[in-house]
Amino acid sequence: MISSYFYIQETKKNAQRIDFIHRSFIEYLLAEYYLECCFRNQLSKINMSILTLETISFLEGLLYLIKSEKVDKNQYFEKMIETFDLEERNKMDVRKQLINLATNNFEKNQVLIPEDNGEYPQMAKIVKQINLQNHRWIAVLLLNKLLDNYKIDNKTFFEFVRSTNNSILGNIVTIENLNLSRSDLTKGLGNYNLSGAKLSHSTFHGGYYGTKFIGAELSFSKFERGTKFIGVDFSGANLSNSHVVLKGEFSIFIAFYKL
Amino acid sequence: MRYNIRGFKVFICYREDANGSLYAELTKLILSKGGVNSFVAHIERSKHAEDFDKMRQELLQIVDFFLFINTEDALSRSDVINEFKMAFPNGKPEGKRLIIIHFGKEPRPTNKEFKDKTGLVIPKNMNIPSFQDEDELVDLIINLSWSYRIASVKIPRNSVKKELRLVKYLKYCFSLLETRNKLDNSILADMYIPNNCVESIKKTWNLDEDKISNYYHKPWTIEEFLKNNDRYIVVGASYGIGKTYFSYKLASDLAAKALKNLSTGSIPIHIPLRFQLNKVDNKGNSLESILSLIPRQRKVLFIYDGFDEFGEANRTNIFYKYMQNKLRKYPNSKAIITTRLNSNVPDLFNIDTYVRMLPFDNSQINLFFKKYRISLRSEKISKSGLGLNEIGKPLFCNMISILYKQKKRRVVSKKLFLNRTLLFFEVIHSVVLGKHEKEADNYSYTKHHLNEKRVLRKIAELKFIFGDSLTRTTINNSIKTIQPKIKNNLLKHSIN
Repeated sequence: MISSYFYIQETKKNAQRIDFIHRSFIEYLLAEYYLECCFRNQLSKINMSILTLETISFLEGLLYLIKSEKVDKNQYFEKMIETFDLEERNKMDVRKQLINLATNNFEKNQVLIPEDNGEYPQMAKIVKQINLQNHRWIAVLLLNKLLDNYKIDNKTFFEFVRSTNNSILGNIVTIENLNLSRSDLTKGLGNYNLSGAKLSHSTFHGGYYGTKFIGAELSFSKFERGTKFIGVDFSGANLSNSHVVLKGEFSIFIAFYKL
Repeated sequence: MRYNIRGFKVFICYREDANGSLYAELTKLILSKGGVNSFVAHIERSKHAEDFDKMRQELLQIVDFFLFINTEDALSRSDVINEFKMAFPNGKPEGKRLIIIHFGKEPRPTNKEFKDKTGLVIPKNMNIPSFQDEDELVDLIINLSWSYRIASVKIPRNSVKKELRLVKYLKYCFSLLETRNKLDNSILADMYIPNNCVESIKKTWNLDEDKISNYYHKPWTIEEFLKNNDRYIVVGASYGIGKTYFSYKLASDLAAKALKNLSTGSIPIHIPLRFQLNKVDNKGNSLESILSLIPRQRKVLFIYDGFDEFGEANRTNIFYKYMQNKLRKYPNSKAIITTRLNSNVPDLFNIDTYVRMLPFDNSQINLFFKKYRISLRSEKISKSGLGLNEIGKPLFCNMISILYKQKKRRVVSKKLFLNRTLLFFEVIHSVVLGKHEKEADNYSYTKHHLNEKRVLRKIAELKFIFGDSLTRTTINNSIKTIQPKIKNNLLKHSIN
């Protein structure tokens, strides 16, 4: 039965190479591993590997089990309790634990590296700077998936986004449930995917290069004079009551939509 | 069976009881080398008695070189000589060369010279070649024909060796269709259902399958691609659609054709990119090693499978340059690259169009379950909660069929609200739990199951980080440090 997970091949060096039956099984189990790290408060281990769309997608599916109040989902939640050794905890307790973990870790601007205890051979070669704030992305994911309209500290959020790999935001971790209203985006942005972001009453200035605001909530936002949008996609965005601030006066905002 | 023996230069008699295909193999392979036309007959002439007797006189006149092969060491040397004498009762034909060779599985030197009045000579201490398989035997025959100046065109020895290695590689490609499905041990050739493929525009790259139907698509076939002027095409699909099986099928089909027509057939090279370019077959040969067997003017199809597994971004740029370089070097070559729909791929390959592999439609899903002998229909699955794009994934059909066999109808219950995460959750949960339930009398299986899941997750993480350099030793070292309560021998149980 266990061959359902692995198959083993002899290598030229007489070592045994272990393969999973399908790559998606690795990605699914990695999603479970990330969740287990959250439950065990071992977030530093999440920073040992790169985040991928597929793994995050599976993790979102697991979080949906924790969030969902549908009766039938509880069957799976019971199994989850068993498989993650959560003993007698109910959904509310589990959610609370994860949300507390997420808020604490998101707010702290720090990198985490696991202790070198032999768990990862050749650890110095594995640790990559680009992954060292993955735990904060997981925190964002937890907040986005377990809460509705959570008012995140938008200043901290955009500082964090700018400081990390922009390919993660929007492409891997989505933020459609976070409340980012009244954000100060006067430093501009690069090729970030802010599709579906709730950015009403925000202030924009500086240069925006390839930023995606597809379906974003931008109502009542201010676009200061001199703001540049190059290759920016506003398709489906709500720009109602947005305006350009022109020498202290208001004028009608004109934008070209990329369809 | 009648043979036109004019033009034959080598007459080969062999004895081979076990392998009836040797006759055909030898004829085909020797002929394919060029310059050597051979006539292969069974040493027990009764098996080809009519042909042989009718042609004997003509053979004596036309054939330059007679070779008797005792392939299985089944006959003693004297038996072979007797056979020869019976075949040619009037002795050695005038001006002809006769050689009896004990081609055998083990080298056996002759102790004394044999000579008879017919002119048949077997020299003392003659090196008796040995061979391990048909390819080697053919190699030896060809070499012998050169040494006796029989071959009209002397092919460099290395070329023959290369071609023999190429034949072996093609046989490997052909065997890819015999790959076993690791989930249920079924053989691909028995279960394979081809996906529909369409040529689509770059704009649809990031769209799910159910959303791309709004765009115009042209059906795509490999036959058309091999005929048109395109040098390469990217085949994109999400995970579980069957990209790897598609690449196996393609390589196997082309290899079958190439083996039938070695000199002009299109040569497939299947390159699993998870090994970068270092391992393209079960012998551990690299892509460069296989390419060294192929003349530059030959038609070649590079099948790069799983570009998304090639490595990190800095490596993928190198790959594109490498691929283009190979296409330039082999002017009659083409390339197919299969990949997941990662957002950077279209720009990296500079493409405006690509081939989208589609999930199964309802009839394909139903055919899948029919092949697996499961009384499920696509209409039932659609009630389970899985999305349209997910139901059509062969991987998911496969997982559902496993669950269905275990739990029967529950898996397609309307109330289940199955999604893809839950499908993986269920499959892994049921397999692990099912395994331990069988042994539940011996220990607390819940605890054991819990530990096994932890080990599985850890191995998945290590596999993700270390890729193909992950070995059992690495896992053992890592597992030791996780938690004292995870027993070392758990891993041993898990992978044994």
